[in-house]
Amino acid sequence: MRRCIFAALAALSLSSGARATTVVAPTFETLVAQADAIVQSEVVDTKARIVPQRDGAPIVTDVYFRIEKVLKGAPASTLILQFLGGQVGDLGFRVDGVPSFSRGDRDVLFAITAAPLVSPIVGMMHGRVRITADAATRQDIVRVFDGTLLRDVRVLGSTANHRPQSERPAMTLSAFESAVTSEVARQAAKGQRP
Amino acid sequence: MKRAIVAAVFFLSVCAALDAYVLFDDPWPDGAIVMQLQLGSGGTLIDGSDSWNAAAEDALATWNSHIGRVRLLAVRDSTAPIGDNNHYNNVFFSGSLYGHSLGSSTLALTTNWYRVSTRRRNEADVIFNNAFSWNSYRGTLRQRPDGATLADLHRVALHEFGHVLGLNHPNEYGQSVAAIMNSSVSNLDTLQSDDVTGATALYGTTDEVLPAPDDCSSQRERDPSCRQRRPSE
Repeated sequence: MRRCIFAALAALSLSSGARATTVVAPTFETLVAQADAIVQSEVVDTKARIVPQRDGAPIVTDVYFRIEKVLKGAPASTLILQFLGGQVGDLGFRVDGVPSFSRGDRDVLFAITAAPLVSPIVGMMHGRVRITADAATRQDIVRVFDGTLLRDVRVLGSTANHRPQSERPAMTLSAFESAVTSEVARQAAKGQRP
Repeated sequence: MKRAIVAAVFFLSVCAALDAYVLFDDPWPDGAIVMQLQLGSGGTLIDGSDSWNAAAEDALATWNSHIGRVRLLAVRDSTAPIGDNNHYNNVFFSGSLYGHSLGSSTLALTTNWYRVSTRRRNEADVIFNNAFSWNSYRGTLRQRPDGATLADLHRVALHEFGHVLGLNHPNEYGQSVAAIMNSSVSNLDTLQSDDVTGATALYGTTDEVLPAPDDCSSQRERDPSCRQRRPSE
């Protein structure tokens, strides 16, 4: 058991301040700065298709998001984002790390719509903040992409380091969105990328 | 006493998660997985490797030292065509994947093609983002003089080849375990017991019957390079 405890502690200490192997985890400020659209959304449909190209025919999945609230940018009422990967017939194509969506998923998305990306979400999967209902309060609360409760935006950017914030209550959707709009305003005032 | 119980429950829950590997449900058929190493030379690297391909080849060998029913075979300095769903397992540097940018924060990616009906994969490509500065080294993560990340190809290759084998990120499933397969890179630069346990769960240990080093029988029909390879290659 002692070995087990040491191993657990070692794992926790090694994870602090780490960067993603496939992705350098963006901070909250970077998420806001790099996204050209930040929206509260719900997935209404997904469609996978094969896209013939010069160097092959990859499968892409178009995800249709109904926009519930715009926090940055000016997307239309339905936002369509294209993710590399999907299934068409008997053929499956997966890019490890690219998030998958199902109808009814609710998220705050930090999206990049200006150019085709493997994942049009800032930081591959990090710019997907999940919205769920708190069982006790029935309020909407937010979680990071892996399902961990988000309690403080300052932990974003240190992907495996969510546990030290466990003393704080879960962040509500409204509190998170307030933090986003404040940061958007702060960056706009500083003349950063809109 | 209450504190002690809470602490005990916490540690037990962490310990229970120590075997935390997560698998994709589309493993390779038994036999050879031929990886086309197309990373180029890069000069002598910090760890003494004489090329990027040599560093990647060492990462393949590291996985091979643990697994039984499949063997990762390296074709160093391969000239195989790079493309998706062409049955070549390409390993290369690029800033984009089939017209889609990797972006400014993605270090590397692994793609997988598989048959839905059989849940068997038949191609995996690994792309290292050429927007980053790379080297190959061990130990603590390093930075360049300007503070930017000096990405370590060897440990990232260990991680990506784990994806090639069929391992996913354990930490993205609410688990905390020491593993090269965590989505977060750290000072860990070697496979951990959880990584090895996951790989052997898919393909058995080296105690099981190994395919011959150049046995491409499982891919012969699909992989042109396998058909063309000779034992001396």
